[in-house]
Amino acid sequence: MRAFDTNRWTGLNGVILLVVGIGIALRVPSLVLVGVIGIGYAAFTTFGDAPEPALEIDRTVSVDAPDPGEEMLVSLTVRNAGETWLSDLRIVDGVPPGLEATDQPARMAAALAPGEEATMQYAVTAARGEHTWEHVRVVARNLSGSRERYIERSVETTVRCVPTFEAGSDLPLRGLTTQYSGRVVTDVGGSGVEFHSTREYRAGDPVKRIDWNRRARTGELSTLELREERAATVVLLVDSRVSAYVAQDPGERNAVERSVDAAGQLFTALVGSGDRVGIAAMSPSDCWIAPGAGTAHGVRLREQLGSHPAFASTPSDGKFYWPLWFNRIRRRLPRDAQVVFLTPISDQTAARTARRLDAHGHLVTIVSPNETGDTSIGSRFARVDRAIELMRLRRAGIRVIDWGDEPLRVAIAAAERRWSR
Amino acid sequence: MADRSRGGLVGSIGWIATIGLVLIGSGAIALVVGEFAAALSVPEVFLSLVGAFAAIQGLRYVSAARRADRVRTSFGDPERRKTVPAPGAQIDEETASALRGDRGAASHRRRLRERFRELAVAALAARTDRDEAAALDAIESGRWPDDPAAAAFLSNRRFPIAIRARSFFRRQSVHALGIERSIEAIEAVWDDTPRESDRETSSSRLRSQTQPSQEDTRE
Repeated sequence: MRAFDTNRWTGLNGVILLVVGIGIALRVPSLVLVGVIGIGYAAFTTFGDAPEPALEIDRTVSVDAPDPGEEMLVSLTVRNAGETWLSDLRIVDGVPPGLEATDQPARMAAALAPGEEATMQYAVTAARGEHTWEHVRVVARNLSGSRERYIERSVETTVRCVPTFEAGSDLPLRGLTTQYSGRVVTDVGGSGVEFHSTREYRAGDPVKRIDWNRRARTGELSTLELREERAATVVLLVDSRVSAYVAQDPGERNAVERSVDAAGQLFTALVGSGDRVGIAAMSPSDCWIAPGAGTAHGVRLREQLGSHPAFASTPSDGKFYWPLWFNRIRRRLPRDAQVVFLTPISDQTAARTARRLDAHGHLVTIVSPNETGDTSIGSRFARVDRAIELMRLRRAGIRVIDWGDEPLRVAIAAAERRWSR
Repeated sequence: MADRSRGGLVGSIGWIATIGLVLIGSGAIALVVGEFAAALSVPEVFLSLVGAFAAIQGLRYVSAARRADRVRTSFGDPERRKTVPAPGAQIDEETASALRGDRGAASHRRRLRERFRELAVAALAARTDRDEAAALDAIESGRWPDDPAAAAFLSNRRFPIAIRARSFFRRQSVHALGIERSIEAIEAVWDDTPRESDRETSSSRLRSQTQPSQEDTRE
């Protein structure tokens, strides 16, 4: 990039002229002499342009695949590979947007002779997701600082932090099921645990399901029908549009991070109980894993939740077109899939999505991290607005789990009590 | 800029530079040749005038420099995690714009009033026996809320004299008071009214129970 004037010394000529002028007018030779010294400084500011640095930059990270919360030590070494002296370098490392330097700033100032190198170290705390370092930004100035040159250097470094999701939250599923046996109690009579009805005995019925009490009372043979327990197909849909990235406290975890953590807990529990689970994102980045079961599928889901850009802890820059996205997800969703929609309900689009999915026959359960507060007029407005939207969704027959600061399992238990009323 | 129509030194570098060169040359010669210096002798007052002129020019340069922009590359704060807004940040921005007092403030107030009205209508329809049309009518006519500042803001009527006077003495904008009281009124109707209507309706529960059998039949 071209060098430019910093205007740091602008006004020095005026000061010199002022001092010399006063010295002449008042006949004070010492003031004129001070002016002469100033002329020396003025000459110094015009000496040399900002150098064009030839730098070799190397970055190392102490851990490639850290666990969430683990501290990583980042080391950035800058070497002057050119022939010119670099008298004033300012170097700032491009820490990934989702990470934060914890102990020291990721920047340094250095003066490098040809062949000389300087190293800085800083620590970052790992957070879920794939994190790529951005450009290293360098400013080179001439000796007086009157000229400056800004350059960016790319140094590829990526770390992946995939968490181990705990199976802590057993979400009660709705009755839309597959033909496979599972844990969702249905209204279909057959084999199971819970009593459903009795019917006339047919040849071939298992002996253990014959209603012997009735046989003793009336002499007739009848068969007990039990509620069949079947597996469900569940798609965990995470709202990760830009508008879903909201946080009550800017320093705390945002709604998308909480949603992804919740999705991790839910899929672990669902896969563990034999349900077929898939994940999708309502996001500019396309993310879809069709429902499936088994250990390998579970590992794949975990990898995607941990590192797919759609689930990043900071919003992506892409455009999101809801009609296109909705048509795509509609085509992808199996007919018997129910949807667990994780969204903060930060706008009308989220509520509309839930209603439309429900209208297309996919039973929807909303898990909604609540990030609203009462610190400002806007946050108070958002709190009431969201509460009204949740009420409307509930009235439309959509299950809603309003998840505040409590653990997810507590919010689910509270919602279950409400549903059973 | 040099006057290119003239020939010689003046044509190539201009009058002022030519005079400057002549003066510098004269000074240099005067340093070496004593007789020339004696011939150039000027009254003391001329020297004072030159000094004063130089000082005034210096002052001009310094004051111009104070207005000049210092150019400095800004690195931002890459060490900090990218922050996200709080819910309702857009309303806060709109409120700040509506209270700024510049020419665009009125249109921001209008938009804000619309948002507040929509929320108030929804809250009233959910928590009271009014339907949406009745709720909107109550707001537009100033019958709801009871607070006169909130009612004036939401209905877009003139604020009562008493409110204007109180705001004047408290050095507070009447619109700020109206906005604040409006959200208080909406919160009051939403939070303080029994939440019977918030519960899932029996029909929705029935639907969730009956849905399995329908779906199972489909399979």
